[in-house]
Amino acid sequence: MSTRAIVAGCLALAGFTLGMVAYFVLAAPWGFPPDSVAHSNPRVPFAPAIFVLGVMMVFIAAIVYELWPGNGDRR
Amino acid sequence: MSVQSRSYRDIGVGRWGPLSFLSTAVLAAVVVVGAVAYSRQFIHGEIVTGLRDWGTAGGAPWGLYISFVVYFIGVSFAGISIAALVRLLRITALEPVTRMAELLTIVSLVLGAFSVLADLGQPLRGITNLFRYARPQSPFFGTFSLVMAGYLFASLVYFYLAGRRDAYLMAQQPSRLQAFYRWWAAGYRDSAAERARHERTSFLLAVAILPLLVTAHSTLGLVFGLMGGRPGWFSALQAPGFVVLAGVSGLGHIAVLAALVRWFIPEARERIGVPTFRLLGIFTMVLGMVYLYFTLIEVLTAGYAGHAQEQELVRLLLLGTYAPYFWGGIVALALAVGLGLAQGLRGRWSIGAVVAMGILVNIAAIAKRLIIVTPSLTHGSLLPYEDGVYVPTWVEVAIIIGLMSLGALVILVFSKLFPVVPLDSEPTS
Repeated sequence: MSTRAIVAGCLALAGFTLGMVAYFVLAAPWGFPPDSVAHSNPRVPFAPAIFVLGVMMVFIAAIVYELWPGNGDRR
Repeated sequence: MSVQSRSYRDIGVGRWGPLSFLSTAVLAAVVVVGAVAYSRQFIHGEIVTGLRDWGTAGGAPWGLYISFVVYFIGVSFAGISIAALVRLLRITALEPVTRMAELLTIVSLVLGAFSVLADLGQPLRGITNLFRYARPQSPFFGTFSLVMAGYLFASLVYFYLAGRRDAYLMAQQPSRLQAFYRWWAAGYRDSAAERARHERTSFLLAVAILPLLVTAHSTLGLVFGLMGGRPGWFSALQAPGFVVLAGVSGLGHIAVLAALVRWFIPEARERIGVPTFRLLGIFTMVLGMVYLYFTLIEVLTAGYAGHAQEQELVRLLLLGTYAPYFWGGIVALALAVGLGLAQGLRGRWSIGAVVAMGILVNIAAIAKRLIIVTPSLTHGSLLPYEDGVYVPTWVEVAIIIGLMSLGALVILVFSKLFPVVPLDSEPTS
């Protein structure tokens, strides 16, 4: 496997993991009653922003994959 | 003449005629009027709009702005889905419109975000608190953050990577924008390895974007569909209905945009021909029929078996205050489907008729968005409040028209900087 594929794959995986962790662990917990303070405030401030960052990292991996310098790119 | 041997001016880039200047000036003037209207709202608050609290205040807190949030985000649907489907299914007839479709997605998502900001009395506070406190599981978060950040960002990545080859080709010709094209190409040399790599990336992006956009549009539908205490909104059909109407309005927009590109850039006519419009027309017609079916089922269910408030709302839509919007939308959509059927039966598709279909479905989409948002707020209360009233003021109308002009202006200016028709497209006619 090429370096570019490994780097891009790792970045996508890291982004996906970050998104999942932010969604399930850092954001407001699931539970009842859903409108109580315990279930409405995020456990870590800016957890929603971290989730969005994770989603963005997954797509940045596509740019990294295409732009990563390598051999065989000459016409 | 091969694509490579053409001058970039042949595809409209850098060519500013009197019509382009006039269009730019008119659109810029309308944007300024919209900005002035927004500054008035920003200074004086939302008292200058027709928006009021529902219930005791007798109004609707969501009106024109939120209707157009739904509309703009809907328009964005078809753009990126067409680009993704062309990639996955190899629909060559639609290849020439992929870039304008992607551009339409990006522009309409940004306009959707601006419409949300226009609806907020304190936009900055709204943005900060959303990213600080929102629940990622909430449909509101999904609508604004996931759509704007995830979906918009994914579309930008797709757009950027898909444009690298044309940027490289453009950078080969001397122009004042050569540095910009080199930057966009970012070292691209159009080698076999790079082309193969781009094929793989766009396939994966297409596979990733399709579920993301269905989720994003469904969440937007769920913002309304999950409101159990709001007759007219609470419906299992909201999410799929939003996805289907988004497809209809977006396809219609692409047909109109493609016709405008043909008009402004005569050289594009050989690329964007009848086969492209035929496919756009067929997709619009089929999705239009599905949406008409959804509407029928929705009205039948709510009108026949719904509780008193639900039935009253259906009466208002069919025969009351909101009937002109409802029937106007239905007639426009039915006409568009009829036009498609007539062309399909004749076996001959005309560009003018498909453009007419595009305009009609967008009239229908705007009417439908208005009657999704407002009637349930003014007349859909389960509590014993008087019926409300909502009439948009000139400020709201000017802001929305200003936003639409801003979108058109961005697309027009972009078409002068970069080929809106991919340079490697095969002629379709």
